[in-house]
Amino acid sequence: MRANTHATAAATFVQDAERTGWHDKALWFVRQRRDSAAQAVPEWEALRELAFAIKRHAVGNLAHYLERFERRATENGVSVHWARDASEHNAIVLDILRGRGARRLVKSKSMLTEECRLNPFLERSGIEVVETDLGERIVQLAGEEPSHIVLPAIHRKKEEVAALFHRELGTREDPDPAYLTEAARHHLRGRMAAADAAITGVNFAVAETGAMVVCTNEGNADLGAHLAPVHIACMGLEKVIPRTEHLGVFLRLLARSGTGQPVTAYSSHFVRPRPGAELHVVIVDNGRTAQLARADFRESLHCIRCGACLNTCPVYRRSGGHSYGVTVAGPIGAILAPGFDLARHASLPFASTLCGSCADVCPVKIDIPRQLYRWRQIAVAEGHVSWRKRWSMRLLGATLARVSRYERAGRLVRRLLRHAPGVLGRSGLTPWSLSRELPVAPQESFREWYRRERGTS
Amino acid sequence: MGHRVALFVPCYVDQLYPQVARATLEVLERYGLDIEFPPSQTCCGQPMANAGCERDALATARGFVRAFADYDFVVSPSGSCVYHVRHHYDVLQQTDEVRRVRGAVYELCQFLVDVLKVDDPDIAFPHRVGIHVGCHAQRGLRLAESSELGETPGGVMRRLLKRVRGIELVELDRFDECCGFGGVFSVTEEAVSARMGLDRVQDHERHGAEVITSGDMSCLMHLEGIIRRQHLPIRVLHVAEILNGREA
Amino acid sequence: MSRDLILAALRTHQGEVSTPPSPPPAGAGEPDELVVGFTAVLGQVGGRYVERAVGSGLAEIVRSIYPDATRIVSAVEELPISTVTVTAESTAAELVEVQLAIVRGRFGVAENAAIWVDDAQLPHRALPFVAEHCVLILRPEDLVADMHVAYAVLAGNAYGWGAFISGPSKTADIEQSLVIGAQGPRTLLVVLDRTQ
Repeated sequence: MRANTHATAAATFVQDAERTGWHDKALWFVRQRRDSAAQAVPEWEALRELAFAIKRHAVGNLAHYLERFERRATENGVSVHWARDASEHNAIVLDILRGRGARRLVKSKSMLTEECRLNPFLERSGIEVVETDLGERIVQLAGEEPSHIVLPAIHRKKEEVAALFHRELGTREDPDPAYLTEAARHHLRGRMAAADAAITGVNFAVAETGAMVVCTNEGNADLGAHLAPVHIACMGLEKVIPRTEHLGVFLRLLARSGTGQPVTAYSSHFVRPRPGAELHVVIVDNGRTAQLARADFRESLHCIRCGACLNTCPVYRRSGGHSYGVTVAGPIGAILAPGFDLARHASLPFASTLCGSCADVCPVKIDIPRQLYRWRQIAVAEGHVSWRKRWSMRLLGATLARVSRYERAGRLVRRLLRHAPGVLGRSGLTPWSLSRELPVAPQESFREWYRRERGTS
Repeated sequence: MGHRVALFVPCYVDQLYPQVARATLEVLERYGLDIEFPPSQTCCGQPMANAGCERDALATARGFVRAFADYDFVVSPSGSCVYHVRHHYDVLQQTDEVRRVRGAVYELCQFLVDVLKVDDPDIAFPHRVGIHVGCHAQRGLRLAESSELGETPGGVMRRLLKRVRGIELVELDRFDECCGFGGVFSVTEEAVSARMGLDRVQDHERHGAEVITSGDMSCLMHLEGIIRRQHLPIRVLHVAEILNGREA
Repeated sequence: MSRDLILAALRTHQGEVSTPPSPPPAGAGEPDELVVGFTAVLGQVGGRYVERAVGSGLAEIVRSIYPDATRIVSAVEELPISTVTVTAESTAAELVEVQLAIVRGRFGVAENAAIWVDDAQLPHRALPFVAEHCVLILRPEDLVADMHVAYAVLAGNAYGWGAFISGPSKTADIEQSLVIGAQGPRTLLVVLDRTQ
């Protein structure tokens, strides 16, 4: 029997009722900002449709567009690298750094490098890695993973950040976000000015021109990339889009969906290396072609990592990103992670009420609930749920398949609920009763009444 | 109207909430319909399918189709079961019968408003009421407007309740937030489920609701379990019970 | 080779390449509406603006708003008030000392207050990011309605690097409270230049 990993971690999170409420409200606030931003664009729903169509086209023609992107980028003087998995990606990055004698690396936020566990790998190889996004720096100093793809430290309270900065950066223990941000500014600008190399993620790669677009609010991606002699951009292979004109669609959707801003403060387009500097791009598969092969889940590759589905998810809001145990948490993570390792992440498709809110905020219209439902079927079919659940469902299915069995079972359940609720309390329904009363069972079912009163069946 | 109309009573409503099924039957009969209750019906199969055991639900789903194959309309006091039949019966071979049944199922308020064109339910219920639309009705069947789409509260259930005499509908902070029931989720993710339920109840309580009503008794079973455990001064009623006028 | 293996795997899931969908027709607006929209959004994203009327000097405007700036880099030809020289060869250590950067924006976008700058307007790409304060000079007639028009304007323009800049740098990474002035400029001033 497998441990129900998300549920276990979530139960621990929920135990702190005050923090759970605080976390829920912080993310709901972001969700409301997204609503206002979306409503300010009259053609919002048409834009989502279009974004879906563009992504479906791009994801359906990845080989074509990646080759084109490679050709253009190479013509632009960019070095293009390909990695089949995380370890090849990490080795390529290390190789570039070693080739230039780079020891001090600054990084802007990149979920791909988190996915590849690049930082611990580089640190083991003697490279000093400094995350320059404030939220990423907070979790890095705390020795944690980001709990949210856009708001990495959303799970941390300002007092905790103050204590962390006091310990790690020698600041005074002042929880004022402006003070803490200012302290981080000095610390991080110093590191960026002294860096030998910079890593950034890639939000969009344009096949037509070879441009790579990187979006930030803090300006840290640009500071790092423009000050260091080497810039390495790391991208999942699904990030390529056909044309420059498509950027207009995605840039209108991305920040509005994620944080409710009309656009990020900086949307930087890297085409050619700076004179005298190097520009590399590492194109990474790491399970993406495998996901592409799964027709039911291909749409998950449309994701532009805006974070809207996390912000809206009532389960994410009340269980925190770390309960998912993956780099990309929340609803989108729950359909991506099983593709990497179903056995390990089999609990994630069940960490949802299938309420459908995620699908309605997704700027590229990924039908997440449908894919969660499909993953559940596969998780069961491949034996990744407990035998107890498996057999109870088999028994329930057999019971409900025949009306006579159903009626007998119904009478039994009602009798138990009336006379011996403790028996049910000790059965598989135990968790129900932890915080809830069981229903009060009636003497008579509806159909018994119907037979008696209407006398037909 | 010359159509054959069947009542589908979800399994847990049949066994645990017979008053909801009776109210549904009586509401429909008030409109002069001859409602049949096919006795071979049991369940739509959702409990197993939602848990990932779609294969274990096949026989039940086939039984559902057989039970309702001869009806023009199948009306049910559950948006969730209706959603399941309409959206998840792809797993069955799509015979004419299966397709017909999938198209014939209606949630109660949807049937009253869209098919019977009911405008005024002609009922009094002088209480402060909060509306909880189950997510399958809300976003699955689109029986109510959604905040994600920039819409304000609306939908078939609200349209009917608005016309109820003496009723005062309370507005919530989060009108379409999930209650956290989620079928098997309510047990496998007990902690989060219960927290979501408590938050949902408190939103209604904060705005002075005496009653939480819904088209889905499963959400209400979950919310009532929390209300009773915490001894909160609020009760739950299925919308059929309000529309039937018995509970005023 | 990984490249060929990845592309081969992708090709097995690829059909005939069709034409990708095109964006909707670009938005439009009267010039005055665009200014109103742009300045409103600029305020929301933490930026501010001044209008330069005919007869008023750029230098006076900039000095009046940033009276204390001593290490100034102007990348605008008609505003020769640089006190520090920045070139493509400037070091990181020199660049991070810049207090005020003045750059001409190519065009602006009304819907999100973004202003396009690229290599052609800059002695060094880092300039609008390293400076403590950033001034972008924009002609009101160079405003477009939305990002669809913006990319239509950019089409066919070769640039090695370029960015849309919308307001000063900012973060809300600590408890979602917005702090203006993260790693990049603390303030962003747009001068709407009506003299031409």
